[in-house]
Amino acid sequence: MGKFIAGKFVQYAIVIFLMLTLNFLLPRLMPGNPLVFLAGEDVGFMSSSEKEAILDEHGLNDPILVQYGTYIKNIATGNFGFSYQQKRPISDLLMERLPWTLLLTGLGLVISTVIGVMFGAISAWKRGTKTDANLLTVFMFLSAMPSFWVGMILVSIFSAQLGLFPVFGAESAWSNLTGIDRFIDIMKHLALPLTTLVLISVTSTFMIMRYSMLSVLGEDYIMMAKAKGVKEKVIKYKHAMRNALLPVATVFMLSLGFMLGGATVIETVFAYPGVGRLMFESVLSRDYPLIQATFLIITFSVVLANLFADLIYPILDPKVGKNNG
Amino acid sequence: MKKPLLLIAVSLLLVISNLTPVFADQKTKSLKVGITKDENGLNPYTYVTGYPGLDLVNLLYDNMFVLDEDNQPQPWLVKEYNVSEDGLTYEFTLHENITWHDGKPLTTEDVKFTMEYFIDHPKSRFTNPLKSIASIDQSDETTISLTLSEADPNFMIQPLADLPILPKHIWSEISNPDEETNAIGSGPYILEEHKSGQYYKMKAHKDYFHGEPPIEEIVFPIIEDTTAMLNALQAGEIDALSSSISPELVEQFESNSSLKVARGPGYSTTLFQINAEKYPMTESAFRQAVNYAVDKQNLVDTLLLGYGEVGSPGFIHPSSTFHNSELKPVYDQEKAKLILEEAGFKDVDGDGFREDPKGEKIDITTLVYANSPIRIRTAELVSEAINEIGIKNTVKAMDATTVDSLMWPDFDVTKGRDYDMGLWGWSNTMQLFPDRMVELFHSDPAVGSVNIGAYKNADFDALSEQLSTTFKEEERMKVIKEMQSLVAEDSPFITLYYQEIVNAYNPSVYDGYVFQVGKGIINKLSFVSGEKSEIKTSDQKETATGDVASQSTSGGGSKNTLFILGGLILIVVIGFFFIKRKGKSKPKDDFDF
Amino acid sequence: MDKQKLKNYWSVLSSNNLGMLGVGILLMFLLIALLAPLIAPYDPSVRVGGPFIKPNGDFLLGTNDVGQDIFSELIYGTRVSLLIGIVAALISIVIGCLVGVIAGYYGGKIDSMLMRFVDLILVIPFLPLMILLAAFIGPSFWNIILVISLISWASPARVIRSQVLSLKTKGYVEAAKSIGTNIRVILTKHILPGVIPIALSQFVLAASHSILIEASLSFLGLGDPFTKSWGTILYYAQARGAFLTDAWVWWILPPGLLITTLVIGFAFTGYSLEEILNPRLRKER
Repeated sequence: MGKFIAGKFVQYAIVIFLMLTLNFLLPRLMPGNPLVFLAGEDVGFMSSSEKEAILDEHGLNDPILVQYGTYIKNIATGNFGFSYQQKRPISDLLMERLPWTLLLTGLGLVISTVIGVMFGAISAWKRGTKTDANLLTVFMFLSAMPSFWVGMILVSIFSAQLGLFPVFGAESAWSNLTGIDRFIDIMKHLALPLTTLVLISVTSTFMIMRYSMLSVLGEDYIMMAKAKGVKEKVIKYKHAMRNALLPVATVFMLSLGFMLGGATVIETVFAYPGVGRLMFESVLSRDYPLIQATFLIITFSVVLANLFADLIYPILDPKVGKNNG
Repeated sequence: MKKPLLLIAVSLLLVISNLTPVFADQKTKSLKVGITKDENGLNPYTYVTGYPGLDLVNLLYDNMFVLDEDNQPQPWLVKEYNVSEDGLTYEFTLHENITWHDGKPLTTEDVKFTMEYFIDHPKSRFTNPLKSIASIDQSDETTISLTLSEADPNFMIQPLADLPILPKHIWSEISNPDEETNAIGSGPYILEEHKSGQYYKMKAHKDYFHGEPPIEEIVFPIIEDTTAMLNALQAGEIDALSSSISPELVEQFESNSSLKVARGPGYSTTLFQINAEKYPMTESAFRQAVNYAVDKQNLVDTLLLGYGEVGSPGFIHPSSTFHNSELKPVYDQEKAKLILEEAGFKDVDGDGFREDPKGEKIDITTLVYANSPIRIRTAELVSEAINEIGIKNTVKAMDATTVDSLMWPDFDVTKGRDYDMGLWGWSNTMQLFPDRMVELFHSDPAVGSVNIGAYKNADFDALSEQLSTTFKEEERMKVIKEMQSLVAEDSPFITLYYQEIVNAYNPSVYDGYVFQVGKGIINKLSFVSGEKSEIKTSDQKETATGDVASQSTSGGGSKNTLFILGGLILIVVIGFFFIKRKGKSKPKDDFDF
Repeated sequence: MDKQKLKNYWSVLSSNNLGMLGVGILLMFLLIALLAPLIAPYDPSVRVGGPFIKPNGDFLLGTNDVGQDIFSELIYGTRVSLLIGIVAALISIVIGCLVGVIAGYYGGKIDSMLMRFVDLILVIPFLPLMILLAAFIGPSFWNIILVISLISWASPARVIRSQVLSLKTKGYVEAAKSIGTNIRVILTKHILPGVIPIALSQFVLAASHSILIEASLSFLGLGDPFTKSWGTILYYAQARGAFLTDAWVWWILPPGLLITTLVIGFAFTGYSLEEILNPRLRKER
């Protein structure tokens, strides 16, 4: 068991190291340099010495290995540096965006898991009936829609045409709302992006739950319980559901890792100030430090979630620990 | 019978209210103006874009002069001024009651300090124009005189109407201005709050020397997505926006009763850049043929739906006083073919495309930014036209930064270039300062700092020398017009069009905007009190009556959409039932999941 | 694979309503793609009318921003979207099969090394990398396909490996090995027949994902603006304000519905294939 965990640690350490290096190389391999974003629109009227001075100042003229060294050193000390374009400390930027992303993706994950589990269980329990068929069709239909398309149609109908929800942002920050009013305002801004996120992500939980429930229902002890005449409700909730939740829990934990990355497409559609959007912009503007920082926290949280899942899985399901240990 | 009367009354009322100039005592409590990007700290060293970033900076800071709606410099901080005959000495007297946001008085000492500070801490846009100043003589708190080393015809525009004056008592302590976050100025508004990526909030500077500003609080929400921004305007969440409305939406916004649309010439230029360093684009005949092949009017009609101006072959916008009106856009495919034939570009191998006079194949690539749909479409149409005259050309869309790195490596024309042709654009400053033509076309990279096509023409260089020693307005105009004829003849690039600026805003919240030619309604004069001339909207009366009439139609339009949507959903639902029915007709057991 | 087995699969598939519906949808789109020139009233790359014309007798769904017929664009777009889905899925399945079979069959060091690599790919945040790659190698039809397949081979590889592992433990493979049967024979006779059906269902799922990913990339402006896929049509529609006007009904709803239908066609087919191949889930009769 200990060896297994140690092995996992090493494996994930390698993953992180590789990702760090990839993070460093990819933006630098991309054609074009970030000069225009560093210097602003005046870049065309600058003398070459001025341009060189700017590049020097940001260490972009150093040999690539020196840059790599600085990069690793900074990350090790938790110093993300300054964003080229926004000219602000990246930690500040992340701190501003993270709460919104976590609110959106966190709530999205919880809601879609609850809905998915519920309907997945119902669907499996009623296997082969019309209910099952209908649920399956509806959920598969949901996952087949492009997320941005769903989002934009929701905006068109509920915001533009009916005026029920605001069309951009996370809150009407400038209106200085407090307490319950602020909460309502935030919820109104959140409603449509959250709905979109749930609509397009609910299917995977539904499918996993349904599969897992189906296989649990086929297990001997359920059959036995049935044969013994145990009440249906007891079988359903006490035995079947509890056991069927295991794979869902694993997927849930893994999804936790992807939360920090935000939902780029949805954040774009709703102009929601999240990390996903920040990352997208950083790529477009060759904002090296920002690309590195956003990618780093995304990778790190995903790896952490994986590790967490690895550690917790044997506790949830004793069978696994034995097999691997 | 009552209704028409009412209608007339209402429209009359609207006409009247439209024509009434805005008075300073009509205070707006809060105004929301959407912008598309976070502009960082709003001081002269840290803002990001020239528009609207610098315009926001100019709400917090003041300049000696200000550009009016026709881009003519008018005194602002300056009360009286005097320029010597030879154009070398400028004398200014400032207004007396100017205060900084923190209450301290603004004096000529701050002006002197600012000019010196920008020399010590360079910021190209502001520093470069200051270089012609030889000495600054600050005689007392309100008078100051500047002596130039050589006369500078643009001196009033840049630096005087461009350079924000910094408070000495704050900036004398600052050694690293690029990371400075304070934005204390003397301008009409005080920056109250900046939430990165979300909004800026400014409040009125009550003691402003030019009178109390007409708006108590302006919020600038940052909405990166244009669709979301326009949606927000339609939904009444914002009252105006910094960006221009795209052509396909103008009609819709004009018919919206609660919005007013202001249109005017735009000074940003879309052009077809040619790399004159690479064969066959080195040949003047080849470039001319390309110019003749492209129907610019068609581009304006198709892509801009008419909301734009056809590019003048001499680059300068027709509404500029420097425009050479003798030059007319050309379009003649037959002539284009003829020019090519005469220059020896013929299709010898019969593949439908011309070979060069030596018989070598020609295969040209046109670059375009992948993130700009209108430019991509422009490139497609232009490429089509070029193919029609028998020149093989393909369009390639790439990430904007990548295109820049090929057409203008490191933003330094001495570093060469690696492209054939490409869609390009210059921002409005190029039109504001027509003598920038020198930078665009001079063959020496030190002078022609933005000559990204490496165009070389000794005649043009000679005209440039002439311009630098000409100071009389009329003579300068003559030289610049000559430059335009030369450029028109030689086609170093093809000016395709100037997109019109179309601003929409909610007049019931605030209606004191000033439309600055080439820029639009987001400018300093829009947000200060004082006499303003009425904004030129399409046709006052027509819009007014149109407003009343359109109310019902626009409502109907959106309802229609909902009906259609409802219908579609119904169809889908029915379709599903149909499928299910079919399933049910079989034995139930067959549902094998 | 022997004929009897094939027949068997088909009979299960055809008794499955969702599966039939899925196959039906796919066939319909295939037909549209093949017969595009016959169905479409115009050449989608020719400007046949003015820009932004509303739907009328001549133009069923109006015209786009440069005056091309939207209906014809959609018909021809079927070809592109289908092609992207199929080619990207094919590439990722081929890579996935190769990695999966090699890892599963040889086991040991090779297996653990390959699987670490697969883990790495699976852990990499998917969309961010996609954006970076698309921005890096630039937008073109083949680049998009490359980007999609580079990212989506890992999960099939895993599934196929576990299938190979379970096949390997079956008696006849062990037996064949012990009597020194040629590796090629073992692979083609015993392993591949067991892998192909799984690969097929993975392929179908990968295709549906690829189509959705292409649409998302196009929406973010990272697609190829000169390829008329449904995603690109949506990109232009939203870029030219269709969401703010009535035009969204004929310019945005239809391509989105087409994407949804095609994806659901693949999903139904894939789902049913999985049901068939995973007898544990099949209802006991």
